[in-house]
Amino acid sequence: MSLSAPELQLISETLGRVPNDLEHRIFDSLWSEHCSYRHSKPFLSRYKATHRFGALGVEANAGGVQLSDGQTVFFKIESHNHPSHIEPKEGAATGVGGILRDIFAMGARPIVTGDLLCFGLPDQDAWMRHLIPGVVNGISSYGNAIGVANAGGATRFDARYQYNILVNVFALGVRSAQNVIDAEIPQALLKNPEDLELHIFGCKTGRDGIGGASMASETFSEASVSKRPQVQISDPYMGKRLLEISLTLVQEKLVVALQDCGAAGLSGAVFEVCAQNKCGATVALDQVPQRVNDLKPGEIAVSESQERMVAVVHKNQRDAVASLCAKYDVPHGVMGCLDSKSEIKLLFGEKVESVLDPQFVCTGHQSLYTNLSPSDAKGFSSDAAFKYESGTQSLKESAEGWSASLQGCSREWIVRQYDQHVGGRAVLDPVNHPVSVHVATPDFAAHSDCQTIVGTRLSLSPEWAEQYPYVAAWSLVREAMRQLWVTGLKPLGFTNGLNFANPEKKNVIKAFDETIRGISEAAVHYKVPVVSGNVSLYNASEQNEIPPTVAFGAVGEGRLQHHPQVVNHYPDTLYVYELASDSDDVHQTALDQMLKNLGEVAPTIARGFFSDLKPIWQGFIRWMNSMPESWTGNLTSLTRDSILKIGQPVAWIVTTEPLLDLKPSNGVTMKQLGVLTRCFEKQNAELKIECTDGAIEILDLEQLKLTSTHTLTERAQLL
Amino acid sequence: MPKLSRSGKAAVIFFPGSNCDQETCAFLNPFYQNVDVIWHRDRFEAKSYDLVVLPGGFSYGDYVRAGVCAARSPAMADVIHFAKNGGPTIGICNGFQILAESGLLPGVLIRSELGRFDCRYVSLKNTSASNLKWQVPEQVILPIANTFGRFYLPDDQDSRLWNEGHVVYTYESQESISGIAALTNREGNVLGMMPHPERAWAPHHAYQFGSRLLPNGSDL
Repeated sequence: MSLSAPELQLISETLGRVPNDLEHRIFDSLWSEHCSYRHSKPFLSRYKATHRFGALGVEANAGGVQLSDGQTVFFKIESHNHPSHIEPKEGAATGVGGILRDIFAMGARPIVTGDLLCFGLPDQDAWMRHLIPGVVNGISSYGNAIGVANAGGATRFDARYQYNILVNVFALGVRSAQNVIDAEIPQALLKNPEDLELHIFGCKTGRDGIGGASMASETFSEASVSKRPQVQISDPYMGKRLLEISLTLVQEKLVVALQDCGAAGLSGAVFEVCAQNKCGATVALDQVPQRVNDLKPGEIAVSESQERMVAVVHKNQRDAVASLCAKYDVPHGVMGCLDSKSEIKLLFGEKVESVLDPQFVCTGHQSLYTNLSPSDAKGFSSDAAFKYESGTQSLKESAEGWSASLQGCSREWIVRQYDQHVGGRAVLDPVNHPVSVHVATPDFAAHSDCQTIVGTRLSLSPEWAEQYPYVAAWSLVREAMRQLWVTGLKPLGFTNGLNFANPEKKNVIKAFDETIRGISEAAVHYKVPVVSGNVSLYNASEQNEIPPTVAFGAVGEGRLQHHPQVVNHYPDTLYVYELASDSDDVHQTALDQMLKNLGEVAPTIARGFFSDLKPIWQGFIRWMNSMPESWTGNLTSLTRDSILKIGQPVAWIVTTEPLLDLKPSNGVTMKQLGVLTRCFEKQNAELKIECTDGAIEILDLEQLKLTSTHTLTERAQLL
Repeated sequence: MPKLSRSGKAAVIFFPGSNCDQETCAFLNPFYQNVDVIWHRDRFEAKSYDLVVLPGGFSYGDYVRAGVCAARSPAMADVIHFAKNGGPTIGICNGFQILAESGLLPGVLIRSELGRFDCRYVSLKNTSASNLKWQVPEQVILPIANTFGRFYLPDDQDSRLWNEGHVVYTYESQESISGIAALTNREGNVLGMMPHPERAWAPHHAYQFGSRLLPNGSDL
């Protein structure tokens, strides 16, 4: 348990006595960093400046934006770092389950998930070689089984995650205009709160995951492995039934409010519903369906047993809800009802176990943490010392080194274990496209010609974020915008998972602040809202701490008939162009404008490469390595500097037709670098490159591809 | 699948753990006037349907062995009766596993050579099964997504399948996957396949081969 002395003192003073076991457990869970965001809340308020660009439901389970067809798309990133490091399969699987419940609690059908993973180096220790396949297996076993397509994501390998891996999960769902639901209860219904019952349905409650939220709010030590019982156990088959029941309840208007039982379990859900709606409740803990018969009231209140939902149901709909749950063989219980008092009475049988004020439980600790505030620094200057990395190697050496590195090698072993096609909505194969695209129109029948598509770009902070957190955050946003534009999509909203070390350390909280400032200033610059997010702190161990790591998700929309279908099947010739802005300004606005214009003629664009997060050259080689066919090509007048450095005002685009009439916009020059041609003899797959300094190099593309495919499996000893 | 005129009725059996319900219904909707999702525990009037589909997924969490528990669901009694009376029945992925476990098709689906879940496109070769009461295109590329996709039958029985022409598709030679991809029964009305035609038909899918897979007598 992790309540601090001042916290305990505040609780005792407010209650007028020492908290009992049940109360102690509730405060311990709900006042944990994981649930209460006590260190991060003041900083996150920076994102409010972005909400005016169309954010919806920012206080709810997941935030969203409206699509032009009237539907709302909800999306969010959640971290499951601590449990995954202790028990990789269940830790990762319950991460997927939790985020999906957040989406369908909004009445939205989840259509895409994705994963942002940071591992240590697998050749250094056996535990890491256990964690990598374990996490992938957890994600695939849960996500594939519940039937939501996986859009890939990003994976990073770095020694700084050796003792604290990161598992961040993204999910996105779509809701039609009729299916409105929220954790907020309509005022008219709150007039007679006693008519509103609290229901729980899903898995029976057991002892798994007790204290999970407070575990996730501590740093790691040798003793952490002993916390395995605090990791929850997943059940995707129950998850799928919960999903269908929840969506039916919303569609048929049988529920008033819906809430996932996530961190802090039942008490998290009940106290949040009451605090948000400024009402009280009576809750009979013994009415919760239980897996074992000797659970203590405190255990029932905070167990994080998975696959459970709490619903507020009008008493007239009680039987309809019960019979729907019975049809799907899903345990269901009525725990009590709301009332107009400002307290929650927790009963176990006849006995009143506790009476607590939901406002105090949810926000009472904030008075202890008023000394934290974001810095006032403004503008792009705080990382002014940012130095672009410059490569000195030949392009050939760089390509070979990158393909043979854990950072640059193929992720196919991971992504192929995820079902990318389930649901039938996937447009682009995520293995070789940085933006995953899915049809969002509910009925995607064969001959409908105006379907809405949503695209997701998932990315991780660059390796240099520790030195330059502000620039790194800004670049993350800019790169995502560019990827969405050249895929022919209009960016609509962002989500972010902020993973940091111990916030009580000055350098950590500074980087945290700078990162949020970078994201929010870039989001305001591009007029796109940050709609949701997650914060995971204390990602550190006795040995080291993680670098500032943002798991970033950007979502855009487009129309299917305007979309480059052709990227699923490239033609036999591809054209490579370089766009360069002549001004070196940090915002690179001219280049942005040009890419946006190009995106409007998107059917010809196969790919874009940018130097925002990593050198263009690395991105290009990674793409060549990921293509299923063999290619041969010729590129001339390459400027070594501009494609080996980070943050250059340069972009490459690959098109399926030559761009003949396109006029560059002000301040951008464009030149054709060369062509790539499909070849049927693998041994002919080579790329001849000529640099402006006169050097000519030849890359053996088949060899690079082979190296890239085998690096991960060999170094991590994967089967 | 059949009948662009949107007539007739198709039944999709939904087991606990089925997960391809969305794309399977979307696939059938343009062709059938009614696509009814039948909960596995409900008995149903199978003879009023023109097609029965067992969708993909992980019914009962693959408990015991993929398809074993689902094959014993109440609704399966009606499916078996329907199929034995010549009704067009198709099982896709987990549906194929259920058909095998219910005895409507021979053999069993075991862990694939790769040993882990595998999602990719595969090329299939039509082996022109005789008796087949389905129209199936010649050369096909379809997605697969499974862990237990390797068809197995003891050698002597396996060669009988080949001799009697019950094999519909085999995998074109690939590194990690080989053997039978789709199979029919002696009468040719029951079709089981591991690849997913319901994920390869719409304009946005990478391939559209699935839309050419039809029960005989369908008027396109």
